[in-house]
Amino acid sequence: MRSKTLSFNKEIIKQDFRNVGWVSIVYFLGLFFTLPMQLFMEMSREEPRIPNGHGLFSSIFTYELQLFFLFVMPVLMAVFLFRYLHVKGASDFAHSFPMKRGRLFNHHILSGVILLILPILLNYLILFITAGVADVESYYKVTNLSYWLWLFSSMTLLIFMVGVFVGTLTGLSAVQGILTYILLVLPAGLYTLIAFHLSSYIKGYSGDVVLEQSIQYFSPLADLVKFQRYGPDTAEVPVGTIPLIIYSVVMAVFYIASLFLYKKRPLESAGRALAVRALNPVFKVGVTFCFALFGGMYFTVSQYEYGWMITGYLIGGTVGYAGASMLLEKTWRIFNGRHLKGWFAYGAFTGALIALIPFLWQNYESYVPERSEVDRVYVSGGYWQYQSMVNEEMDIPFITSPEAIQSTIDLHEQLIEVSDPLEGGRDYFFFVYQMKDGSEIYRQYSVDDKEVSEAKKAVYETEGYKNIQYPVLALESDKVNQISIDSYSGQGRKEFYDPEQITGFMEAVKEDIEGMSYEDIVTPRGLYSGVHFTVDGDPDNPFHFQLHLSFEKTMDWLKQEGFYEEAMTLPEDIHRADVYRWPQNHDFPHTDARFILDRLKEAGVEPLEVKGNEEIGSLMEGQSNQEKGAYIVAFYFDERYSDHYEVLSFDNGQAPGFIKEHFE
Amino acid sequence: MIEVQSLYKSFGKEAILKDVSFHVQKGSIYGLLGSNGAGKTTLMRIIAGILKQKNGHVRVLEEEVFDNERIKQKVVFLPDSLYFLPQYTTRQMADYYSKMYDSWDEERYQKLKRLFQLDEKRKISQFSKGMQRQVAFWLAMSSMPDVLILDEPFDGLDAVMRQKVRNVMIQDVAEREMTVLISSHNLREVEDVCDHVGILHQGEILLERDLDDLKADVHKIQVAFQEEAFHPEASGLDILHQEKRGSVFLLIVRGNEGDISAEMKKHRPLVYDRLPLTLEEIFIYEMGGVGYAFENIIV
Repeated sequence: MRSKTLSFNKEIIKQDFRNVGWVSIVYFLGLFFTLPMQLFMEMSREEPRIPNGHGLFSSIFTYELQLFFLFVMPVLMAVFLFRYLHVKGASDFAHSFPMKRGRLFNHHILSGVILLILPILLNYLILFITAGVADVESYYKVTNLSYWLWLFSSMTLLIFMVGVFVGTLTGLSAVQGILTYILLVLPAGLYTLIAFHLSSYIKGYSGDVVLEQSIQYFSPLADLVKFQRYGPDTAEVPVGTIPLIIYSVVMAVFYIASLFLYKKRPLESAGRALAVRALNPVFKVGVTFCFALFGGMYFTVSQYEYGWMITGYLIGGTVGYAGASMLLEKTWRIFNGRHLKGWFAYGAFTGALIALIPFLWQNYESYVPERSEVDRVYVSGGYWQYQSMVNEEMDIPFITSPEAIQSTIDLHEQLIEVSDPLEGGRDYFFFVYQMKDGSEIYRQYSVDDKEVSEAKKAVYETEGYKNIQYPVLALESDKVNQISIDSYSGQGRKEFYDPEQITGFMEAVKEDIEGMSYEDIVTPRGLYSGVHFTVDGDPDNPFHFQLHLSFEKTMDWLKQEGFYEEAMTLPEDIHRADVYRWPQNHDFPHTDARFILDRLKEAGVEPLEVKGNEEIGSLMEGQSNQEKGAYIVAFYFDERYSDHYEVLSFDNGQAPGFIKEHFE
Repeated sequence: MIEVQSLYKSFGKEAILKDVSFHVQKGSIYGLLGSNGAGKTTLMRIIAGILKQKNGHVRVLEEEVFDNERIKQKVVFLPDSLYFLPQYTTRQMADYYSKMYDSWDEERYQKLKRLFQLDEKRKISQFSKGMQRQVAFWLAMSSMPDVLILDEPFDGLDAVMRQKVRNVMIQDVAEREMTVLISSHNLREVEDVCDHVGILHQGEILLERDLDDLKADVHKIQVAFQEEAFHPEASGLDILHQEKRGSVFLLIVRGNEGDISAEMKKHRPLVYDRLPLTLEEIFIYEMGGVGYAFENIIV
């Protein structure tokens, strides 16, 4: 009899197969149609597609569909395998037999593992044998196939064990299914919600940084989905070896926790939402909190107002609280004093929390690094610009000179003073400080730029900032194969390859940029042309910039080489120009010239129409991106396309005489 | 054999069993009586080792039964709402049971097949409720348990089948001293099967009796005397109930039969008859003194 206690009971495995074998079969078929079948179809094509180097994780093998089966089948397996736990009769039946709970649990786990691994293994074998008899090198290699086997087995078992864990925690199969997915994305979701809310409460806190850099570590599902199958040189496999090992460890932890819970679980909890009563309040508060955060985020994103945010908390929290109560009590009639009391208690607690958060983070908000501690600093108009350089492993043009660092710190200080995390503004500032002790500090602000223009000017005119804003400064001319300049009107284009010309052009450009004033950077003159480089044979690089009339040395060089007519927009390229007076007493929601021009056009204001080349030439001296001025000019390049136009503007002083005369 | 001591069990805040103690001897058939909601099913699930009590001891075959594989090998539990594995035939269930219980007796199974006359190849779910109960008995009896726990076992069985099942059970009790615990809300249903009964009411055992003793111990007598000198209270008998119709007394008396008749003879009765007493009456009179509306409990 002892020996039998240790041996395993094949009737249970048999029963599990009769019960959930179909899940295994569907999994097999799903993978079969997305992998071997796709391969056979592809191989029999007359013009096979070119594989992109991701092997079995590529689009040829419909990675998305593979993921669908990977996400769904293990959860179904966990739900149906442990369905008996959630039905009173079945649970009593299963546990009335002479078998320790742990052993019974392990039997079912064994069935589940066999039934889930088998379909993966069978598909692996089919692909393995195919690789032996046919030439599939261009689609996948055996190492890639083995990695696929490892990845799918690990992730399948991880998702399965999470499902089992939730199953031992709850007493309802539907709740098990839903909670499993919630648990799989919960860390990432919570992280997003919290990062979002901290960005709205705390000056300088950048939710984007936190999210972009680490979100995938918080959910295996996000990790799998985030895999980029397009574009070069990104990761070759969806999940690396170290994360896979970590996932396996996590799986083992879930297994141990499930086994423990299964042994302790009161069986009378079949049919209850949560098997462990002690978790009821945790669950309720958790759901309420998440819903409140979500509600707050929803209303903030659409309204950007503190009042709406609070409304969002109230609505979200109430919905979450009611939903959780309904689920726990399995009735929708939960409107009684006890719940009302709990709801109030929760509200009071979170209200206090909201009030406290800014205090807790006061140090963070007011912190500005000491210049002496800063090694170097990066500042730009947004986080993404920085991240794309990090992603592409480029040298990041940090500001290193002490004066420039001081200017940056001054700007930072001003931003702390004027910024309001919830109000925001059109102008974004993103700082990365690399400290001498090796740590990094990130801050992000958005304000209306007028408020900090003085400090901003000081930073913008530093050489270091220009290096950031104009990567072309760091580009060596001998690496450039080709330069192309496209005029704004789209009618002119100049390309040149000659190394001498390239060197001459780049010298002039660098000199112009180094001498650029703040005004030239923020509100450059004239209609720009786009300059693109081909560097070491690669046309895809960040060195492109906009060439404005204010690049005086470059303009001289272009004229001297005879390129000017092709490279820049000429008066002849412009069909007509419409001049409006900038309305002074209107209160528009935005103040940029283009927005106001559109309002004027809508209002049917009659413009001064200019067609003469000489007049148009003088109008082309106007500035772009201005937020105030006396006159607005719209340039049309082709009478057939009234949507293609560019806007410049003039202050009173600089405006050409003929428009002043016209409007007076 | 089965020993329950100060057992306490609650579901959430609601106490189902409070301080239950009783004892079932080896080879006896114990009837656990109680109204709906008295806690019978919960008590049986605990004794079968499925649920865990909060406090107290539940020993079966001298050991704590919860999650005890060795003890549960010898215990078979038949719940009131039967459960069979989905889509299974009786034969498949028998295979399942045979792998679960070391004591499974295939010969017994075949013998019982002839008794019950059911098609073992048919899916159990297609059987009627009564047939399903027979299947459950069939499987339980083939597992040769030392302890058989039956929750409302006679629901849905016709009189003939009930008799058959009872015979098989009693045979095992007689031959191999199997112990049986039967729950019921109906005293009449178990009266002719059990040798002991216990009454569970609102989570407590109200009383426990040996039925043979009880029947020998309580008597219903009808007496009439010539003179009016007889006063039941003064007679020194343990009178549970009395009625007087004219000169005739109807008495329910506890005690030895010989002592009672000797006492009566002293008063030289004109009439002295002993009347038959049902178990139900015994309980009602026993409990009547305690003040419970006993009819409501057992019906």
